[in-house]
Amino acid sequence: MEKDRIGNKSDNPVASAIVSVGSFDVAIIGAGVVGAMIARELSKYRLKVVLLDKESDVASETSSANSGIVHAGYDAEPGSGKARLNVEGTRLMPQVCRELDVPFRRIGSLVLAFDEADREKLGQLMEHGRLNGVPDLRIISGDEVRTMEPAVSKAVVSALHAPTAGIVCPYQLTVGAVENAVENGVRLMRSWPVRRIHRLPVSSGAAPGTGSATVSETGCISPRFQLMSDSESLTAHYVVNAAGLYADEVAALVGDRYFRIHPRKGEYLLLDKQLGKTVHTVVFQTPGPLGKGILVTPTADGNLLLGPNAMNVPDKSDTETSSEGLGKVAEGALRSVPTVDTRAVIRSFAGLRAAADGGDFIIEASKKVEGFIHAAGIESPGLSSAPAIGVEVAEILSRCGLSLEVNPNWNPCREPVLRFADFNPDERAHAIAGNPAFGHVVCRCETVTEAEIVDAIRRPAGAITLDGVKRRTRAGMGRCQGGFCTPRVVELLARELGISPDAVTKRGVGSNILAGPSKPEICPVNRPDASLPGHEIGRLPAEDAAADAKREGGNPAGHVADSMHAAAAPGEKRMPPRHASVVIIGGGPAGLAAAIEARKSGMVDVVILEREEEPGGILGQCIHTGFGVHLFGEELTGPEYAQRFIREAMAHGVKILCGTMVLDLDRDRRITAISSVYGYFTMQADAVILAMGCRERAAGALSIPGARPAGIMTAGSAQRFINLEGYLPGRKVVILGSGDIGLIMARRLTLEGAEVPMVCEVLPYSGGLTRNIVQCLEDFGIPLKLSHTVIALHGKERLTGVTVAQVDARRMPIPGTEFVVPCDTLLLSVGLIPENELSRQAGIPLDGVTGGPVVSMDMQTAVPGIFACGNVVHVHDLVDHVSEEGRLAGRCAVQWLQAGGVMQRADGTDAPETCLPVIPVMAGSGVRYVLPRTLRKTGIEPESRLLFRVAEPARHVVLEVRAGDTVLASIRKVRVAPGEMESVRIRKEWLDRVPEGMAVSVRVVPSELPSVQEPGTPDEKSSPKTLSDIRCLVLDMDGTFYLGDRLLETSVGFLETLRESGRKFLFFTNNSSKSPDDYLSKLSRMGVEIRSEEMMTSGDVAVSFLLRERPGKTVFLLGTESLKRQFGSAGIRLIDPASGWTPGFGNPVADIVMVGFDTSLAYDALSQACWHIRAGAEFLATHLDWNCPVEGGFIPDCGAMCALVEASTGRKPRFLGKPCMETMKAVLERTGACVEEVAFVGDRLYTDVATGVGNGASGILVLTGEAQEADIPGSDVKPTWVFPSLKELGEAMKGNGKR
Amino acid sequence: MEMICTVCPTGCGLTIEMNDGIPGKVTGNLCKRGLAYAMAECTNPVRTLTTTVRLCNGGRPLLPVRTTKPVPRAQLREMVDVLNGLSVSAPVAEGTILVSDILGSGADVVATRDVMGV
Repeated sequence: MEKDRIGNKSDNPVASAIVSVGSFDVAIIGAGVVGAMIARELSKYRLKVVLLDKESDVASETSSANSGIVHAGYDAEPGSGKARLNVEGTRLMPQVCRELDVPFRRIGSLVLAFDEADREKLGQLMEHGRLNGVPDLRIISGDEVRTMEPAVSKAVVSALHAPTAGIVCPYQLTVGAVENAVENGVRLMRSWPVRRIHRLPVSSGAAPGTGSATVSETGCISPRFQLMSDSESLTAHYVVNAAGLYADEVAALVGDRYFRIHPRKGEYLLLDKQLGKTVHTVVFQTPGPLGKGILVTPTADGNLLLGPNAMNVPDKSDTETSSEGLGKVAEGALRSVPTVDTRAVIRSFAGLRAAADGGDFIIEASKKVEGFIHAAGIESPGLSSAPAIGVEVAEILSRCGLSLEVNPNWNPCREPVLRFADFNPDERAHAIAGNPAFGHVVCRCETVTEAEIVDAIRRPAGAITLDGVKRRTRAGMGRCQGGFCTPRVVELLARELGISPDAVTKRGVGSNILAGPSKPEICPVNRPDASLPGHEIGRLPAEDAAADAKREGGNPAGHVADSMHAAAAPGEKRMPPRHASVVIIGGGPAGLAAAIEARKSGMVDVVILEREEEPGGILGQCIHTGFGVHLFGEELTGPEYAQRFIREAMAHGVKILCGTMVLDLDRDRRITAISSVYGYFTMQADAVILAMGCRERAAGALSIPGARPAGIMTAGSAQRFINLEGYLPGRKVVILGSGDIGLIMARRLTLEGAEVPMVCEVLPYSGGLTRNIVQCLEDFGIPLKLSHTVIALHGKERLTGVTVAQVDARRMPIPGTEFVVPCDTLLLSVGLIPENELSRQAGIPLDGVTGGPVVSMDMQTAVPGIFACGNVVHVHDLVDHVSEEGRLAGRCAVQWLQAGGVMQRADGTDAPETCLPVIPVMAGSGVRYVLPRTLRKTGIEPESRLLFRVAEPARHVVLEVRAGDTVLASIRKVRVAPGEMESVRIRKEWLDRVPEGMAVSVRVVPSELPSVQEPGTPDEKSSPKTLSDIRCLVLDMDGTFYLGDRLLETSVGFLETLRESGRKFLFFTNNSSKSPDDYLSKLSRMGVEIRSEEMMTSGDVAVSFLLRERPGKTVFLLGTESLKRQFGSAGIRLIDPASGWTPGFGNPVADIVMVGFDTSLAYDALSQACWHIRAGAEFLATHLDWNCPVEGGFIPDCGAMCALVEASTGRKPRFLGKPCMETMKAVLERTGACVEEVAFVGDRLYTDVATGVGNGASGILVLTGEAQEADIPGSDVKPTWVFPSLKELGEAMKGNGKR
Repeated sequence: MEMICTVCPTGCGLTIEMNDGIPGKVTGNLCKRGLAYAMAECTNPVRTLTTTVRLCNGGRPLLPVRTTKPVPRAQLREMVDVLNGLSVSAPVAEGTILVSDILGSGADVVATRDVMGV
């Protein structure tokens, strides 16, 4: 270490307290990509160079948050520095990236033109490109664009194609350049903010600018500058100002004030890798006055990136995102690529451009201060230009007198980075064999191993923070955004840096991840280096007897743990299994139960592959009670529950490979996995059971606007830190989301001494159990704020508070209700997502609602031989149900094998089960989803259940299982809630009653309604015996009362007869295209006068339903003008189709989409309806008729329009008109009659008659229209009475009507 | 006094008439268990405590523990303080009594998992 002292201390009053750290030829201020490239360039010469950064890591500001585009170079004004350096930088980039082992992809770019004006601009850009020397530019037609990029908007008329553009990861490029510079002798000093720069007196021998001042080796010339941080100083002959956003402030330190840096913010949305191939080139829009417009591009790492917008901001540290800004980004992106699914956002972020006055780069020697070089104002295309800027600055230094003597030992290549995810199978096997830490996957989403993380920390200029690890290795950058790996990475950083876990930071001083130990004197457990060995627990079948003998005489307390640790000594290599009858992926409660059951059912070799070091899944950290009430009749803690199953699995000889991560699964049930013990291996399973469980929804998916400080984590990560590691995540913790995990953590944190000021829940009800609300919140006086959410995060390094606001029915914050809650931590308990990456790899179809595989009654997925159970299928709320589902899957997998599943598959035919007729299962009204999706009449197991969740909380309801109009089963419930899964045991008796070709549905019915029938009760029982009981008739119109425009002869006098008999009546039509008034006029034209309350359409049913059950909700209506008027005059809040509308953020989402018989249907309105439904609106429809009969044929009706919407959105509507219950409700509401008094009269069995008999009333068939007497025997719907026409009905009603 | 019954997921809203701090008539319960719950909540609410204690030689820093039966709610914090001062050495078996009759509650504190020594 140099301990050079400054010549004259008296010049510097602060120096006495400050340590000098050396003397250098060149000091570069700022380790962004520009500083890094300058440092690397200077490392080619025999110079002493120091690279300084105020942050704890390189690439911390602009270089950490930008588009990552290597521009072709046509944007910049010809002749500008930007133009020259961009083209040159882009030329150099491929080689630089090769040398630095940084992924660079030359994918080309497109600038889209949407109209003539745009097209003109393309011509200008092309001309600029020609003048700037950009090769291979070409203007192509709209069709050519779409051939190249099929996802691009149809509105695009032309585009400029630049094949030399590319993408690179900006922080990996910076890290690579810095590492290479350091390897070549540059000194890197992080957390070294330059506070002052003193210009030192020039010694007599050194005439400035003559070059003599540069002979540093002789040490005889005094340096020009002294740079000081808070506690250290150094001297340098030359200073390069590459301080990015702060370049003007650094310049001002030496009195150079001729330019200013204006931070210009850009916000981005980063999307899941599943969407990474939406486009294959960088897709720009034609630049406008505000910049280059929103781009859509794949990233070097395979995600999809949208952004940026541009906004000048006063604060150089303001990287907060805003909902408006992100909305604009999404909107802009959708203009170019309308199919981008913005729900796949995994992270939103903002970066700042360091724009200078004048618009060009400022790369020059200071005119005022000798030896001071500026590399400032480096906004876009700064990343592209960086390699050229490095060369340029070296030349400027040389011109200023720095002698550039080539360093003969210069190595252009940095030590290659090993990326396990990119390895081929041989490389993987080899890597693990050489270093078992490659067999330990820390970040599951990005497949980052412990070896890579350790390497990233140990490298020159290695990572010292969580963000540092993330940027170098991608650990925590995947779809779960560190939800799973954060605790593990913290552990590794603590171990490698020799610090305690609570000293680990997100990005330097003040951004600690943890608040401190939860107990006094927690002694950290030093986990072994090079990963823990994977343990094998359980025995091979042959070992059973010996093991049993051992267990009987063994230690009852520790035999589980004992055999776990005895099985494999650290570092010991074992032969991996090549084949097993049943392989279960995941050793949590579902997997353990499945394995035990498979063994019990007679399978010999049952293997569990478990990625953790011990089985039991998440139960190990769930130390609270509440598990096992259903299965064991007692309240166990998570560890107790898990151990019961682990012991049973052991007793049954289940083989469990711990520390084993499955990387791939294919349709032929070939599994590829890694472990530190077995290395990289492939095994064949006869049957596979997926039991991977679920993961927590991460902060990124919420896109909460604001800063990104430390102190935000999922409730599950916090639970792990507290219950397993002994560290508190914070001292004052706000919890967002009132699911059970959030509630339990509120109690746990409070008991461990933290303060929980509140739990916020965006919904008007809690998703957690009442018991947890009482025992976890009320017991400790913690307020639960329903209909409240966090709308902003505050704090730079560590969270200092959150803004909470009340939300309206559409979950939008209500202005004026915001308040700030000071806190240092925000825990997220905002939902769980089934973890189905492997299922996707195997091509298993997933259910859009549950997120899990579509399964049959025997828990088999759509891929034969692959079964699934537990939270990977759908998120359960009770572990008991998970275990039961596991048992079912285990037994069914064995039955499938025993029925010859494998053999059948081998000769290419389907397994026997799949040939049997299946009964589809559907979610009816009030039900969010039902599993399984299909039933069979055979193979019903004791655990076979319909499991479902209601859509919203309700009291006093009946849960009905129906097949058409037949109620198969019904359960009365005092209370239902979406957070509590409902289940109905599947019984053969009622399955046998399901007619061929009919589906089973489950629905929620208010229990006051008389439609409830006991299972098996004949429909007739609830029907009245005689016509005299009927007090109210609901009359069909066309085919019953009139035909087309002609009144039926048989109808004359009928209404009078009814009136005379004292009965009420109502005309009802499903046709919602016309208003009730239209029908009144029509009847009037036929000479029939009725009162307006005697006319009802399905539009009225819809209005009545909305007013009664969806008060205040906003409705997007696909309907005729008359239907709109009808809704409007009832006071229903309609959202009108917007003109010039594009899908995306920022549009108000309707609560409900109502589809009517819209004879004015327009494409624009249709696509908006679909958008609202995708965005979460409830899907309702006035009636289900597919076609409407008209003279000469049929025209498509409401049901057909719904089918179109359903095809687009995958969501089914809830119908309201005949024959649905809502029609009955509306009739009862209108007439005041009770259900037994009502009869529906009409010419159709399936609509008119069915409405009556299907909903507890009567149905009268008249034979004047569609149905004939011969149709009745073959119909499932049996009319209560049949009459040739209304005439005979009227006769029959005479005389017996008055009571 | 009003409360929500937590015995089962039905969550009945209970109303308890209080006379000088002594619970009287209970209404709103759909079953008898609600009555017992209301009485206990009004006189001496009890909860099962689960927490962790320090562990040595176990390859993990903490051991999960529980009380063998529900303990007075008012004592929960004090019990956590007592247990935070406790240190246990592996090996330890599930069910091992670590503290008998904690704070005179009549409940023992037991380990809820096995941990082998390392």
